[in-house]
Amino acid sequence: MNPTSSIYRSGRAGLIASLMLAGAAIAWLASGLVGIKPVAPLRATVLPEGKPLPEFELLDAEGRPFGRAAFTGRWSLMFFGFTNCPDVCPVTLGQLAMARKRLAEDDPGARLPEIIFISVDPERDTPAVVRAYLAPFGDGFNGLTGNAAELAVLTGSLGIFHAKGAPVGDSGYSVDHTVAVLLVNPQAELKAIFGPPHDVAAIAHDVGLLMGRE
Amino acid sequence: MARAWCLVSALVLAACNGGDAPPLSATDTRIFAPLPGSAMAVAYLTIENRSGEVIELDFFESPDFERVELHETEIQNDTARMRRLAALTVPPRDEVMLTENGKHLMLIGPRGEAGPGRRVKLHIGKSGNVLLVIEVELQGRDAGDSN
Repeated sequence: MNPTSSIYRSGRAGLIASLMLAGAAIAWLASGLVGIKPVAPLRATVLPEGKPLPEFELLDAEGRPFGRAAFTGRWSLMFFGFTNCPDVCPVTLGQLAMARKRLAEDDPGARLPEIIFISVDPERDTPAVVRAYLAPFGDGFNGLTGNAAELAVLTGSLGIFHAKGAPVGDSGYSVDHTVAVLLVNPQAELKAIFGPPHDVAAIAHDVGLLMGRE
Repeated sequence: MARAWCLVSALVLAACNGGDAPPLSATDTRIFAPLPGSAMAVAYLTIENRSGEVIELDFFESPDFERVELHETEIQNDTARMRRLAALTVPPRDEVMLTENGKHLMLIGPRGEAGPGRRVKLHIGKSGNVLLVIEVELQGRDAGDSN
């Protein structure tokens, strides 16, 4: 027997055995992956580590003090706007109401995020005005307003821009503002950001995912 | 034919009595009632120009509101800014959409009750001449309004 040929045959057998082993391993891994749902958020920018909200004190829609501690123990979706806003704000609040409704339909009985509307126009938006403005959007909404200094503590910490904008009517004005939606976790930490344009299905999917439903 | 146009609540032109097909029409008109605590309604619609001429619309009013203004929302770097526009240009044989987070009409200061269901009129034109009269019911806002 040719020793070279023997070594060759032996090496080829080893190679075949290795390939079979590798194939079996791949098949085993693949079978394990079947049925696993994709877990990536569709639209949200997720912070790897939650950013704690600052200490602040505003008033809720009932005129009661509302600060960082009120965010603990539940998930919240925050949106900054103003009640004289006829376009972006009601459209976004309607989208958030719809996303909350979808979450409720997908998992009846599960806890839902509270939607917190924070006025960037405290000059005109009293708690009573904010309460009335939010009423048509249904359950699960709360509104915050208060003095400009306390508002600045919150907006400054979260990078929310707001400033008086173009005149409207004889004496009114618009307010330019950030339109991102922020997701806050039950530890009162900013966990994710949804930038515009907002998509109801993506918000519902990502909030459900981040709340640990999948 | 021109008479039929006049009877359509959503689109009527001052030129109806002239017998020609109106150059402007409005579709997909939605006017949302002011939310409680607010004195502003908002109108979204699509305006089509069937003529061969550019039409510059600079006249907006309503007998049901103290004033009507044309505004545009621009969103850049996650920030929304709204600015007033002097006129709306509708190119020949084309259409312009007034829609959410874009160009829209603000109806300010309702005269009387302005809740959902009330019928209101909106006049749109050029240099004080009404070219389009729209009459629709005010809509309410709720969780079903959004995409």
